[in-house]
Amino acid sequence: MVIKGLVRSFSCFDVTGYVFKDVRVSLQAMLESGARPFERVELGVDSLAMPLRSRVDAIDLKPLSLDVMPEADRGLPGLLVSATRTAALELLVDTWIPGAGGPIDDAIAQARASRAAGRPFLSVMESLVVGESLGRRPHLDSEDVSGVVWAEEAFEEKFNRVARSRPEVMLPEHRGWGGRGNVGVVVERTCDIAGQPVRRYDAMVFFGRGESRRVMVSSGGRWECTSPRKMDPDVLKAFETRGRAVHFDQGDLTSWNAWKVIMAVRVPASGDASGVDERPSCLDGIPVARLADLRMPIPLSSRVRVVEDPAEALAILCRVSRGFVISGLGGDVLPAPIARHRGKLLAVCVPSQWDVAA
Amino acid sequence: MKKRLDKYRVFGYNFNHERNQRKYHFDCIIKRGLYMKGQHAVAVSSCLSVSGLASGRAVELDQIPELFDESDGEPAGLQADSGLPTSVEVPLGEVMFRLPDQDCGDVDDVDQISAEDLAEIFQELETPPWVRYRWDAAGRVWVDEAGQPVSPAVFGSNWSVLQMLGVYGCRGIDDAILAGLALREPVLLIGAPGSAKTAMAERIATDLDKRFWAYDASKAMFEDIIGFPDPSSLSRGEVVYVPTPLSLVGKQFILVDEVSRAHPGLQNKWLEIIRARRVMGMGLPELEFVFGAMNPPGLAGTVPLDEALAGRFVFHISVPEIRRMDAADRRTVIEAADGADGLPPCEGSRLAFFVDAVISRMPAVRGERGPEITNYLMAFSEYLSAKDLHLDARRLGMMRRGLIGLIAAREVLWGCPVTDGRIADCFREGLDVLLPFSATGREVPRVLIDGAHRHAVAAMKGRRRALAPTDVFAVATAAVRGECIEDQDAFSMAVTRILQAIDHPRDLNVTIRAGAALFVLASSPQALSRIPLESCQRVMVAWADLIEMDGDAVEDFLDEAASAELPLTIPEAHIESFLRIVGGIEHAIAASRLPGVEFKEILAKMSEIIGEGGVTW
Repeated sequence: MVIKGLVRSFSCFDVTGYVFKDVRVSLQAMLESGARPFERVELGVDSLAMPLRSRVDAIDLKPLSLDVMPEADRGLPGLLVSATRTAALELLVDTWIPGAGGPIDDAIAQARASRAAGRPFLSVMESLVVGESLGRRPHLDSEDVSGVVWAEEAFEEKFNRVARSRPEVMLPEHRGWGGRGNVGVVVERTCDIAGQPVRRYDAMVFFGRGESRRVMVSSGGRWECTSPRKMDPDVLKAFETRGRAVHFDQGDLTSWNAWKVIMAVRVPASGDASGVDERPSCLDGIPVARLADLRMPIPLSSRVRVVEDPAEALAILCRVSRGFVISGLGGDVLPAPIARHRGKLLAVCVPSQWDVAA
Repeated sequence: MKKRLDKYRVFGYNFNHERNQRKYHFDCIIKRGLYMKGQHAVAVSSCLSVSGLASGRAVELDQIPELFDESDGEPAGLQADSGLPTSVEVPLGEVMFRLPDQDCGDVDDVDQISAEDLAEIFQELETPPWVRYRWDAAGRVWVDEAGQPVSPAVFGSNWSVLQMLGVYGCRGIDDAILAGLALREPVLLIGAPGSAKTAMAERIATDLDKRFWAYDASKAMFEDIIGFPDPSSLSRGEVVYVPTPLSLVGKQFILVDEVSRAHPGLQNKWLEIIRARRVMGMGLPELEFVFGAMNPPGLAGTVPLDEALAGRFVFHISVPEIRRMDAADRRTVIEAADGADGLPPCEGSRLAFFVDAVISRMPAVRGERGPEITNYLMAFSEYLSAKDLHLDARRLGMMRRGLIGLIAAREVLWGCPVTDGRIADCFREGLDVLLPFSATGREVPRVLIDGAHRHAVAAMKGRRRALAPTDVFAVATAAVRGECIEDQDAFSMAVTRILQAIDHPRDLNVTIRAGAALFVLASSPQALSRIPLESCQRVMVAWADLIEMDGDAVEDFLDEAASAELPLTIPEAHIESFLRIVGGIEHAIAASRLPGVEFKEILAKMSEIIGEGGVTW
């Protein structure tokens, strides 16, 4: 499966360069790892979308261009790690390939000019160094970290190897980054729902450590809790070959096991019209329902009804308040958070124990 | 004149007057029977004890119906702080009496009585029936001057049956004592030292002509109640006990005094004796009556009664202390020479005259009131359960028998059936002698019992009320069952309480109950469709939040769920419901996952809730 990681690009003297890029690792390696993926899925308050965001936005990785780097890696965001910052800064001054502009180009240019003039040159590159005290900070997320040179101590405090077998790939250390959530894998697949191809996610969420490592897996919307060793080989293979390791940063993806989709509603492409006061018959017996991104791993039947009619869809979606369809509400205008998803399919969900047919 | 007097029946407690001042001062209750006409009309209620209150202002006759708004089957308006009179001064000749089985709200049927009639009535009232009437030992009945049998009601209307035995100030517990004797059920007397508990039991036994012994449970030893082993029986391979004058064998009526301080080694023996009339597996067929006695918990040097022992006594009767008696009774108690009062011994039991009458009346009461009593107790226990105050099946059965006995005793003493309008009062008063809390020292607020009583009365009359908003789980289950949630604001408050209990857990039981309430509501679209829109949304938002856990919590949850076993206390018939609650065990139980609450506690509480029959969707 694919994971975004800091991959060792080169070593030169006491300096190691890492670049941020996709790399394939085995599911087993991830299960054994105590690291978190860089990419995080933010389950928003209303879970109407599953945006993938990279944790690197907290680190502010800069593109690296050094002549000691493999050519394929040049221009990728990355960082340098060194036991002493002097060695890393000197390597930058010696091997940096100017071109992209920006603060690194400027700092290198100043440093090279100073060195040529016989003046101290390292001090002009202070802004490129990540403080050595960083490792003692509880949460990196709490403030942006800029700079390309990391002290080895701080780096090891904040990053882990994915596995012994892949020492070149580093991921954020599980507990060193604050926040909560679970590590897992998502696979995109196309389902047939009421005769329509719909993109959905299968998901696997890891729990426990070592021998007690367990996973909760949603495949085709059906959840099960199991040991990785006991998983269906076909499902396992799908995650292994097409999966993407992510960190579920907010919310509990597995809690969607307690819901089921009773209908899918397409948000009208042009939604200026108001809803109608009369409650649509499709909401009979459903006093309240939750809206979610249809791609979420929520149990659903392939026979689930898809509401494509804009008028009916409006009648449903205009009754949304705080992510819930309240059938007793009068039809109003389409709420702005829903209107942002024009053209998308949203899932109307109810608790799984409700005796309501999809 | 006799006929006229029969019509004017006064019945009530503590009837006092001062004839020489030609004024009557009622400083206590005449049970809904006495009114005055003219400028000083007055009504007094049966539902309040007004003993000791000073005389108040008179009430015009047209105010009387307001006092008895019986829309709920209970007198309304006559509250201690209502400002209405609970006692008055009544000029002679203007007092009216009315028959006890007439509704109080209708004042047209109140007759006026002359001063002469009234004087005769008072003369009758002042003369104890055992003086007015004669005991016919052969017929085992009381007879009048003409030799005609008289009704037990002539004793019960203004006099105490126990007073006949020389036990004073106990008029208020006559009915419970008679019911206990008629039912042959264990009776626990709770009273301060010197409140004549032992004397009462002894005099009852003496009158009933039963072989009696009073055991001091704090001192009694095994040999005292069983006897000594016969060495010769051992050679035959058996143990035979040789009875002594103290031992239980042959006793017909026993008092287990100081039962709360029973010797620890003998507590189980007393359990067996009190409830099963057996000891060491040996039957005690002659033992008919078992009374227990103890001091009230909280009194210096006293201890609460063990719950198991308390559960064996059907009646828990508080024996009045002299300081709570009226002046006449206090005077009588003080002046009565020990053993020299009451009726002299005679042939045949005069108490059995009443007990037999109660026994004869009970089948009719059971037939007429049985279903009502059952409905009442079901709703009563449902309310208490919602407050985490549980009555077990044995206690509820005891209460049903006890209420039947009490109503029968009252009907015998009053000489007329308990009317529909008064049955609720009877139930409420019955609770005072049938609930086991006081003996065990468990402080149950009176307001809680009153609330449960009102709820049960309404349910009994087919007007099932939504439970108070504080009963969050009961409110939730009521919504599921489709019972009317009359007050939508109250329901919103209940939802607020549910969410507060979950977000800010203080008491484990309350938190779990609130979690269960949330789960019950969120699991039922029918319930959600009956509640206010904003509550509906808050419930679903809260449920969605609750079932989301952070990574560590999910991990812990899975560990707990994997190792948890279904509690054995779940009846087989409810296992399916239980599994529905825990929803496939693995994750849906997260719906009940509450901060700081262990999984096993949820299981235990859920099974308890199911045991209450609270989850039926």
